[in-house]
Amino acid sequence: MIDKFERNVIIAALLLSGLFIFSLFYALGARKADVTECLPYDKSYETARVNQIDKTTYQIFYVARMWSFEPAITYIPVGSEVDLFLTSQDVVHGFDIYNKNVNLMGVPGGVAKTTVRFDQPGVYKVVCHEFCGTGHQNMQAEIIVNYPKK
Amino acid sequence: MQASNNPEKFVPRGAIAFFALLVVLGLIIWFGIYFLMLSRI
Ligand SMILES: [Cu+2]
Repeated sequence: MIDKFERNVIIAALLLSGLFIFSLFYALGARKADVTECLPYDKSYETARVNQIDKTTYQIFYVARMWSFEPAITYIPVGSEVDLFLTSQDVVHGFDIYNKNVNLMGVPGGVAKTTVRFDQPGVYKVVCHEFCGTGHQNMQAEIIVNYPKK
Repeated sequence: MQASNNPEKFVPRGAIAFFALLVVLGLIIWFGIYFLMLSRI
């Protein structure tokens, strides 16, 4: 017969795991949190560019290299939904948008993709958060969302 | 002490309290980060 306390701890651990898993699915479903995808690589991702799909839908194809991101500055309107694609030309780089739920790895030969909405105007800093050499601390980009206001 | 008189009735109060506090700390950290990230969507 299993010890009473051992049994209670197992039940508590299962309940807690259940709560965490439920919260994850709540965030993914009801709150529409986006999860990073890894896309099959092809050479075209090494060309940095911005595509406008419609008024507030954009694609940004970022290329990371020692020690910059391209495109370095992107202007988009408030309320834009942006598909971000990221690859690297040399080593592994990080890609973090300050105060946004975006945290990607730029891997040579790989493509990371996520979707993000910009509802607040402002200058969103992108930084490399994976040490990539002596210029790492200067490796950054900006996404400028309707700022300064017109 | 009662525990030494009757080992069948031993209740590990200290361990239970420690475990409960550990779970509460884990919940605070986990949901702290969870709601921070939800607010950034
Ligand atoms: Cu870097």
